[in-house]
Amino acid sequence: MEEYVGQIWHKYITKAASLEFAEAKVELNDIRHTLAIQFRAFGGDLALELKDALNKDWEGKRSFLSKLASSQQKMELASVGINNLYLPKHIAIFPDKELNKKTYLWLSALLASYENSTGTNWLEDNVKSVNKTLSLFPGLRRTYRVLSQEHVKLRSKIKTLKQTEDELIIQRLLLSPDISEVSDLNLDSFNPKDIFPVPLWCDPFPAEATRIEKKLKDTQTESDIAKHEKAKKVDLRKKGEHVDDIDEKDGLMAFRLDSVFSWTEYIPVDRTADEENEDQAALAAEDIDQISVVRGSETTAGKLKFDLDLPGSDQDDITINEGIKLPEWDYRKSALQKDFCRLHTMQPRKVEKHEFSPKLREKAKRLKAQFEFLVMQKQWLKGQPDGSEIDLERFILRQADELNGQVKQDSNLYLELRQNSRSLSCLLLADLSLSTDSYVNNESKIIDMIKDSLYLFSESLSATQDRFAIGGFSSKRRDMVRYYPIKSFDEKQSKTTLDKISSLTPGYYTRMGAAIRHAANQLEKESTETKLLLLLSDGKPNDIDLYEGRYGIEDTKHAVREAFTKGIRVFCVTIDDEDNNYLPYIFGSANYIKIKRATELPEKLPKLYSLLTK
Amino acid sequence: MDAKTMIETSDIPMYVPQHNEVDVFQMAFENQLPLMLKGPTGCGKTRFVTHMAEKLGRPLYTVACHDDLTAADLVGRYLIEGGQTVWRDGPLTRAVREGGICYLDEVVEARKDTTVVIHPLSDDRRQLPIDRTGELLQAPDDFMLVISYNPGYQNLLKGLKPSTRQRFVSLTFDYPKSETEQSIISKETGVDDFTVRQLVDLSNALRRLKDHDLEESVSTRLIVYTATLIKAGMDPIQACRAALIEPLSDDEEVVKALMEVVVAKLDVE
Repeated sequence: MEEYVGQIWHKYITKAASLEFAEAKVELNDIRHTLAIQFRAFGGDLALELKDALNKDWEGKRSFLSKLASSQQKMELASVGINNLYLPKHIAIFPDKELNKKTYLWLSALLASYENSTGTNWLEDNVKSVNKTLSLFPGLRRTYRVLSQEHVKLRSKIKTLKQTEDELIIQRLLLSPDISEVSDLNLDSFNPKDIFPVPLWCDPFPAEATRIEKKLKDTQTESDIAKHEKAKKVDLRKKGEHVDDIDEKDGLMAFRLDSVFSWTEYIPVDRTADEENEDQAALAAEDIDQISVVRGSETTAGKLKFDLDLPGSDQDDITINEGIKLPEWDYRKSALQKDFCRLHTMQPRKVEKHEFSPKLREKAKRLKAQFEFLVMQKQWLKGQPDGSEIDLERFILRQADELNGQVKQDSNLYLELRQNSRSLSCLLLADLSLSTDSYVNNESKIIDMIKDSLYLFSESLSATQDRFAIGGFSSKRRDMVRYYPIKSFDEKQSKTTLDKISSLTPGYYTRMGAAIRHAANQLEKESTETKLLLLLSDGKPNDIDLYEGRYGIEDTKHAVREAFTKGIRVFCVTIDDEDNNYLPYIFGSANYIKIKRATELPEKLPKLYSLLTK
Repeated sequence: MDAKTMIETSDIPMYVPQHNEVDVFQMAFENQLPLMLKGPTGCGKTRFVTHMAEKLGRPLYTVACHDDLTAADLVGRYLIEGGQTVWRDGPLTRAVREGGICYLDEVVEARKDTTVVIHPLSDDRRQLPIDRTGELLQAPDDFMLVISYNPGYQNLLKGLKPSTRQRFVSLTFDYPKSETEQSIISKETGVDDFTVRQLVDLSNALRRLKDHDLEESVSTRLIVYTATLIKAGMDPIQACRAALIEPLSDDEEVVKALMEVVVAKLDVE
């Protein structure tokens, strides 16, 4: 009973303390796609992904009630970084739903022109970008006026919010963003931490900057991740203190390595040791949702390396050829780094004889028959305006019509033999990284789906005249990009190909750019008229060094563009069901397709191929 | 070349040069070289050719190519008329006989065999063999072959063969620079400068979305349509929806999202 009352009290008092209008709440998830388009249309950076803003505890003013409720004042504010754009998970600052929606629109326009490069003054940055946005999009003036007036009204109603001089300045600037007033202010005494949050402006403590700071300075401020708001109310600082630095003698660490994007466990990797520059570590840090901080690690030498999970060289797949050097694109330098990656062509150590399930074989047979039908070599087209033979039937009919006095004249009197042959090479490149080892349902993993797809694809295409090859790839840093040439262009489809497909095992990471470059080099040697690179993937490009987030995406995009200049079309088939905004950025909107259910992939792939090449 | 004087002095269709394309066209014409125009849809390729044909005083034969266009459609064919067969010249043959400009619009759309008939015309032989009549036409000096091609179309199997491509002097077109485009729009439609500037700004913002949220960019032609509707008295927001946003996407969500951006740009009190 006591507990029950306690819960009710907690609910009541948090609600009372909350400054939100729950009934008018607008969820970001409902309009995420729309906002992302709008952000780009307003002129925002195309490469940025829209993410939820961190639900952080407001460090500034709190009301009496919120102190009483002892809940910390949560406040999500919009911000923009070099990798992502952050918008509040929901907005309920106005009692009117329409206004809350408008706030989202306003924020996406504001963020598109927000420049915090000056980094000196949050107030000035905001006032400047408000002005910029309003002059670029005069249609927003009315919206902004309504929003700011309503918001200021609400601000002045908050009892505990004392109308201090600073607060009055904020309110004045909200109503009339006048840059000259900002420059007159004495800003030294002005601390954004003391200001009640301004949801119509950008976050004075942008999400990305705060996280980097946390990582680098080893600070002890708390952080709470939006996603885990309910699940885990663990104070990160405590967490950090409880985790001891890994002793290399401690032995086996059993965790999945390819999952830094989805997991937020403490992973003791020293990113500064991966590459030379410290800022690269900072960049990598931004892509992890949560960063645990360990204090007191003295040297990097004793740290655990990722390589622990590698099979011994006698267990590993056979390297056929090592040392195909490939370049890599560094977007920060805007330069192609020559011979940056080393690609090894590999082959599975054990090629086992394996039969695909009867059901799948049946499907393969059916598809093969369909494809055979598609490539009927030549056919006579009747009633053509031009052709090598006269269409006698038509000619006779016409003569008869003419004798009967019909005026309308049929001029399509020829037969033409049309060739259906085409000259096309296609390379199917499959992602074999460890992430494909996860399950799609109770029976099968993604890798099984990929194998089945490769099987059906190769069977279907063997019925056509098109030249095709199959490859798989994974990677472990830039010096070991692993490429499995499963079938070359000149090889005939055979039992060996199928055995090779079934012997594939997933492992390591996804250095997509290097794999695309290698595949494109193979395709370039082909003398056919059309060259197509089909990429089969389950997620973003990533590797354990700096090849993550924007770096990986930019490199892959560049590799795709390089392939394009070689006359190769790249098309991506993905089974990543997450919100993947990066795909159109890399491949272009018409050059990728998302397969919602991975189990549909095997059958869809050959069909997709025939559609693409129709 | 001053665009203004051009429009005022004659009834040549208006064209505002983006770069040196007028000179290139003229030089190519004078030196009997075939020309290829590359560029996205609605950026002014066809208008440019019309303008140049008028300027050079040559008849223009425009053929909009489609995937059923055969060599006979270009060269000509025998027709049966009143029990007799009669030879009819196609547009290409007519242009060769008369010494005019033959413009093949969107040449990749045509069947592959059609590109072969233009090969002997587009190198130094400048000949058009007509198999059916046994004629071999020698093109006069004032004949010119112009083809256009949109490299952006995303069909895997349609592209221009390198052997065709390499026979042409080429010009790349893109949407004009903001100022040029503004002057084009206001000259074409007579809409006030402020609206024109807003429309062009908006279009440039939308063009950035190509390959990301949209498959095609806003063409100059679409902006002209929009401005024309506004000039005719339509509400600017509605004009933008009808002529700028709806033609670009069938995705309702995208249309809705972009309309809010249009309102943000144009709904001025």
